[in-house]
Amino acid sequence: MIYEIELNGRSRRVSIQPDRDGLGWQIMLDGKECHADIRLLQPNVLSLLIEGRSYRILLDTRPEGAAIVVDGERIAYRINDPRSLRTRTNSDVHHAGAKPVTAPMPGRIVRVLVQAGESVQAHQGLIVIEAMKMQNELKAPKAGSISRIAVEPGATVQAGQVLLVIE
Amino acid sequence: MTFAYTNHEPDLAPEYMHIKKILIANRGEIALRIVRACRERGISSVAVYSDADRASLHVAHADEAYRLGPTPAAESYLRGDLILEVASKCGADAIHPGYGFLSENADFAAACENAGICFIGPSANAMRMLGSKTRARQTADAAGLPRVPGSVRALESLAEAKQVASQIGYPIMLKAAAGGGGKGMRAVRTESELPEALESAQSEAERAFGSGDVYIEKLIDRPRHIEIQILADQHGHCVYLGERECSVQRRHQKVIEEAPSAIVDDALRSRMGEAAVRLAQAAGYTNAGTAEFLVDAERNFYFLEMNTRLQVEHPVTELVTGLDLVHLQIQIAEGGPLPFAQQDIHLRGHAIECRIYAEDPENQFFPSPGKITRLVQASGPGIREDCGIYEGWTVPLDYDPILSKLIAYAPTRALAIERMLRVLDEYHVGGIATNVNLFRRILRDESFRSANIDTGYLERMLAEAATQLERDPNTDSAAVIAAAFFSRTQAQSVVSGADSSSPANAWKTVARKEALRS
Repeated sequence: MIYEIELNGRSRRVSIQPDRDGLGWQIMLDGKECHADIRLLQPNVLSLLIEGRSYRILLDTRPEGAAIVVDGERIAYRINDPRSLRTRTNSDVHHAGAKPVTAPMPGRIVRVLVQAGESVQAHQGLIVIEAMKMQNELKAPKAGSISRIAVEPGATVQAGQVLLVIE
Repeated sequence: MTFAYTNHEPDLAPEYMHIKKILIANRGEIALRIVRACRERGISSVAVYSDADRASLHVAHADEAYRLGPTPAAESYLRGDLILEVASKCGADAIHPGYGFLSENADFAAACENAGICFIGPSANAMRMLGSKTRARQTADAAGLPRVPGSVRALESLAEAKQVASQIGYPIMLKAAAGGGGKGMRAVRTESELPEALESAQSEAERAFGSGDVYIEKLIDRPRHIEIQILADQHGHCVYLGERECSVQRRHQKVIEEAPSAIVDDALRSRMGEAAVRLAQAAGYTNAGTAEFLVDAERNFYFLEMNTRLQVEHPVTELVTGLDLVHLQIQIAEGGPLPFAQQDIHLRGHAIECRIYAEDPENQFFPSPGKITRLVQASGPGIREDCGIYEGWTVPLDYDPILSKLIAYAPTRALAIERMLRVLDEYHVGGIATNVNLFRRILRDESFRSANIDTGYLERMLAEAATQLERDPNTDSAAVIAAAFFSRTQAQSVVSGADSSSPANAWKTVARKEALRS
């Protein structure tokens, strides 16, 4: 199977399949054969040997996306899977123009700094949310006007919940 | 347990109390650290927990554990009455408050005293003289400690604030009298900023500490934060265990602490140490405590406040002195004499602590509660990890986001830095964002490495764009291959009917759930 993987701003093509005797893997990276010895040590933990170089690799999945951790360094990536391409495009189109501002973590709304109909600058403070004893100010991702405010001070919100919408 | 000191006098008279059971009125890594000390001393440990913490590590490690109440701290860990009730029901003869929560609450210490339960810390009386920052400043004045100019009482009005501020001159600092951890603090550069800053400092202090008392201090330009650890027994002996430098701070919260400080020499150490001891003795202080100082560019030091409890960063002092502060706290609470004198205390090597938090430096330091899907713990020479988490645990959003503390110990500061970088490469908390990468950046930063730091250092560094380290292209290739491998093996498990946990699928599931919520 061929994967198209976007990593570090670059699109890479990699194919991976069991080799002839079924003991290792045959890997093509950007059209070139690559000799890599892969061992799965634990679920989501790999030891990778490429021409004598040893890499300790972990797969880190978080709600906001997956990353490969190589020797402590977290490298985000995206697999361009043709099956998921269509749904992603749809949702992008749906939100064009109206930008919802969502809670980055569960917490409690302390203050709402703007009113519906108000126009805001990019990076202007919108809402103060408290979690883990810290107050955090959510800032406008872009300039625009507030078309809807979905929460009131004191409300408890979940991660990802829409707090307000900027048009 | 005894320490082998050459001058140790075996005069432990039989009238000293022997603590048999300690209730730990705290949670997380510090509760576990105290449970472990109890185990080492043959003392029974009692954990208490809120509903969010039933599955927490401190509960599982203690000998006994009892529910306090619902998740909010105000209904559980801050309920001194419930804690005392549990203590008397289970027959605990002492309470260790840890840090935060009730640790600096003099009323709670007094309630313990009245209930005949030993509070492992200073007396309520000493705490009152030093616990509130305004009272501490009055005590410090009486003991002749140099301090930052400012008000010694809580401000009663905006008019009074304006008057004090213009007297000492801007810029000034507003601080919560009952405060700690940077809450209720505001820097004010001009009088026009004062009204709003005062109001927000007071309301933040009210929310965090239940008291909106705020006072004013002159702002020292680019100060270093250096603190002295003291220990005092109930027989009038008091010693200082050297200093810790905690200048790397964000929003007045310590991020990295180290011992010793690169700018403190023997002469300055003994001057600061003796000042801290003087203050403790003026207040009749017993047990472990920390006097915090600001040190300016000319190495003048000013008393800031006294922390009347064990500090988060106590491990760095333990490593460079070879002492165990929690054991000593218990010995002192039992009425035992300090088993050493000032001249027996020697600092050896260098220790650095990184506080690992569930917060995302790449997203405005937002808290990142959630499930820890993988934990690769720290190990190897010279490494200590004080940890309150485990793989599979869900970090609650209701408390401080501290997950664990990594402490590196080495013969020199330079080697301690390299050792910490090494362990940060090995350490891994998966599933939630942490500040591990921030430490890698700080420890590689030239200013930090040359100890050219002050309390504003980190905010300045964060304002600069991170210099992107040139990554070996082979590392990217390895990552691409690994990503394809994981994707392939997990796609296979879908075919075979097993539950898929591929990143793409996990992402979609969460996105769908969140779409439903909104």
